[in-house]
Amino acid sequence: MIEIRGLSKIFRTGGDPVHAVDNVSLSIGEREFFVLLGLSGSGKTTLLRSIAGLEKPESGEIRLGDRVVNSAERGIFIPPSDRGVGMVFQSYAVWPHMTVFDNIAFPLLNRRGRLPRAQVRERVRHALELVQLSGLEDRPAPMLSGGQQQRVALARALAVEPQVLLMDEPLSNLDARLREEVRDEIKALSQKLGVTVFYVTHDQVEAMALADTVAVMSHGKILQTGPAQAVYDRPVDRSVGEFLGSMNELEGRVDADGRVVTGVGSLACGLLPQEGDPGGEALVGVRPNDVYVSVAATGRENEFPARVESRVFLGDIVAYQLSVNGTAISCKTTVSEPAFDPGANVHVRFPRDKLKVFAR
Amino acid sequence: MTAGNTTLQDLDTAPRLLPRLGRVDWSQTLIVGVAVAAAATIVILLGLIVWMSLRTGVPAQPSPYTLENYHTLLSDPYNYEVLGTTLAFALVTIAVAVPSGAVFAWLLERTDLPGKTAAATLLSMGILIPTFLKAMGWVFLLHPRIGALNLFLVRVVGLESSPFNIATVVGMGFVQGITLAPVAYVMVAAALRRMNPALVEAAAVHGVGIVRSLLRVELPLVWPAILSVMIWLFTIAIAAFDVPAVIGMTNNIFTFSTALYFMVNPAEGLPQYGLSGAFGTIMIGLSLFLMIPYFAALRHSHRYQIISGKGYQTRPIELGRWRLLGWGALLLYVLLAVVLPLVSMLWASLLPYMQAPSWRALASLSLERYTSVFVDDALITSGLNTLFLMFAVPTAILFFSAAISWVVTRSRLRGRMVLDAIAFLPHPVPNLLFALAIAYLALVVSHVVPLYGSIHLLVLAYTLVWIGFGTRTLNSNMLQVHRELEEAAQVGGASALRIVRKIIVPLIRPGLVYVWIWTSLLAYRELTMAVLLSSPENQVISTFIWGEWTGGGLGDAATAGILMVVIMSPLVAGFWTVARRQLDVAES
Ligand SMILES: Nc1ncnc2c1ncn2[C@@H]1O[C@H](COP(=O)(O)OP(=O)(O)OP(=O)(O)O)[C@@H](O)[C@H]1O
Ligand SMILES: [Mg+2]
Repeated sequence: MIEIRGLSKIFRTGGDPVHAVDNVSLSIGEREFFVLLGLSGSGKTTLLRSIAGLEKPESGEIRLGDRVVNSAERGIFIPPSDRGVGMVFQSYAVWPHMTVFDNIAFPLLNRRGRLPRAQVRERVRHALELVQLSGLEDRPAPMLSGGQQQRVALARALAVEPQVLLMDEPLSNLDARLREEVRDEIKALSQKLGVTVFYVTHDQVEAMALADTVAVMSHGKILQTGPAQAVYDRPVDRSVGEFLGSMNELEGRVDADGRVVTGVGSLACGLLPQEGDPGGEALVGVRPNDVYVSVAATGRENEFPARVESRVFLGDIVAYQLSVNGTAISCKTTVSEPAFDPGANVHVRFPRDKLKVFAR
Repeated sequence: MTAGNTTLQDLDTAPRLLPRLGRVDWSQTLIVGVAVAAAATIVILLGLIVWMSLRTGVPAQPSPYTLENYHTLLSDPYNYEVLGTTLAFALVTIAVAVPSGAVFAWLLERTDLPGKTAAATLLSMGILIPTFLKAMGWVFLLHPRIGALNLFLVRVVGLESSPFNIATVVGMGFVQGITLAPVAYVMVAAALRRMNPALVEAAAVHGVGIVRSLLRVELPLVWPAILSVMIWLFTIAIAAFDVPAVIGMTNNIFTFSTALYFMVNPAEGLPQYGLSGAFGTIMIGLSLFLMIPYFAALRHSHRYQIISGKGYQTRPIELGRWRLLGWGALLLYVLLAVVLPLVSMLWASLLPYMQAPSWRALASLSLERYTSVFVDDALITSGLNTLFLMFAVPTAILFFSAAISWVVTRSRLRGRMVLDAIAFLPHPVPNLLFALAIAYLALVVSHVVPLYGSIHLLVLAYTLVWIGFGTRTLNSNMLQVHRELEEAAQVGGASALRIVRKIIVPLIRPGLVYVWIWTSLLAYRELTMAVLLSSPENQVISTFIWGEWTGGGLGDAATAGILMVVIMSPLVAGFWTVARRQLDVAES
């Protein structure tokens, strides 16, 4: 549905030119929920705005469906108003001089091939129903709460029945509880309507909860793309791994048997990095919730005796600080598991398929 | 606790007004005193206008209180005519200034017009030429009897009568509108910059074309701001003196300011101070009343500014071939605002008498006027007086407005916002009235202090009227200085004056420089108040030229005008460049 080939956008406003988007290629399928994840300033917004036509890239090509909307090489640039996308802005951009109804109806009444009034009314009603704002039609936009404005922005984007829905950190201005609620609604709605979604965020939890596919972006480049779970479990490098969640990092060396010798001990690992030949340096990453703790040894591989150094209750999870052969390891378990007291001698186990090995 | 130590309580009530035993911060009292003195003078002068309106006869003589002046004023149909002319003039002014200012603001803020820095400079170039000179330039160009273009069309081309007449309400409004367009530009541009660009992008993304989005989204959103600009310019136009005086009086068209001027300087008979006081009081009422819709519109426009989380620049609209039209409009503006008035004034200054442009006229061009005007002692004295004002006035303004701003933003003095409001008063109230009140006051006290006709009266009038400009700029500057920086010094036991000198002044220096330079430029341009307070001893360049002009020496007035522009331009342009840079520093 969205095909991006070799896209680059350079900003040259004083000082050094900024390669906001640097030779990015992406392919996003129909009905896919695609989440672009990256640190602040990594170029996410610029990429999204390029798809919308709000930025004009220096090179590369963008296709929406079977239409080339942007090709720097062929001199094609379809203006935003003719791209047929819907967009939810971070600031919502709900027009403050209009009512809720007018906000949603305005594009329908003022675009090319505009709809007859009766049909517009029906579309607005339907869109408001989808975002659960029925009955607020005549409310002036400034008299809405942040969450309601967010929903109006979503209804406006959906009412044009776009093939592609673009969202730039739509939840970042909501408070934490509302954020989860709206997040789940967005997911449900996108599935129900079968729309292709291009969603930008810097929150990895949000990304994991929403995405069919995630892409991790840094300094204008896409580092990794894939199904959310796969990227989480098998990050291509240390920076992607760190970005998606905290990780215990163990430095070591690959030995002749293909095991990695670390401060904790010798670990049997799943996939070795390409250049992980014997004698090569490697880094093993393991997420705190992939570290298993038990009092008695189970006798399975990658198990080591350990000592509980400290314990913190974090609501529904318990975080431990462990010492394994003098190496500090953090570990998280759910409260339903048995709790261990600080000072207790326990066993930790690192399941082979949860270990991520990177070249150093 | 020994005297001189600072307690926690001191920190809390920052600048105290009731000094406790053992520690009196006199410097604080001094600052408050300066601020209150300035504000009190403003109020007294306004009160004086009202007082004048209730008296008859000559200033220093006793008079019963009476409403007779109002009766005389309101029963004379001529005064309604003047009011009507004033309103029509103001409306034409707005109709010219606001649309052109708004178009330029949109071009510079929203499109990819090339050479924006140059464009902005061109738009602000008009400041280099005082308004009364521009008005004179237009008379030399389009007056039915002496306008060069009219003479050319009648004598050379052979039309039966002069096709153009600048000496009409519409002509005057046009000239006034042209000189105020940059003000409208600055104000609308600021409103566009405050607007969340995503509001316009949201229209584009959802299929709305540029024109519709401009008309249905962008324009309604800046409309409250535009409305406030209109009201603001309206108050300026109804008080304007230069254009009605220079252009209107050649054809007996009078607006409020010029009518008032003739009440005080009648061709025959005694000055009618009582009547002018009544007229002034009514105009004060009108201007203050206009502030209600002005502030309402301003509040509305600020409510529309939903600030986006991250400021970003939106991609400018590509003008393509239309950019030529954009630059065409800009150059046309410069032609009308600067080039044509200057050229026609130059033309008039080089001719022995007004002639149509022709070979014969070209042959009679000479620098004779320049050699005679230039050695005129009166012009040299006037020039020195103007220079004096350009240094004395801004310095006094900094002194008083810094004191007021300090009290308003830094102290917890009760009623400090009243000070702020009073400093703002001279903005909407016609400036002419302050000069009138000062002239009247000088007459009343003339046998005690012989101030009448002194240059210091000009300093007083200019300073009081423009203090509001200083406080508005300095308020926002001072608010940006974090309170803790000051408190740190307080803990160290520094006095208020010392804190102002050592901490606040260095931190807000760009703002101070900007205010100083800007008010200096205003002093350079000012004619209105100078004319009302003028006497042979306190002539400035503007009143010198005005004297030549009203005395029939049009050519000599033009010559002095050209000399004023040529000699002062390097200084003024230098000032202007520094001021712009300081403003950039202050904003960054
Ligand atoms: N209009 C612009 N002019 C100049 N530089 C820009 C502009 N817009 C973005 N940039 C720069 O391009 C880079 C990418 O910016 P972008 O807004 O795409 O980042 P982002 O990933 O969306 O960040 P965030 O998470 O903070 O929103 C940044 O270095 C930014 O400073
Ligand atoms: Mg962003």
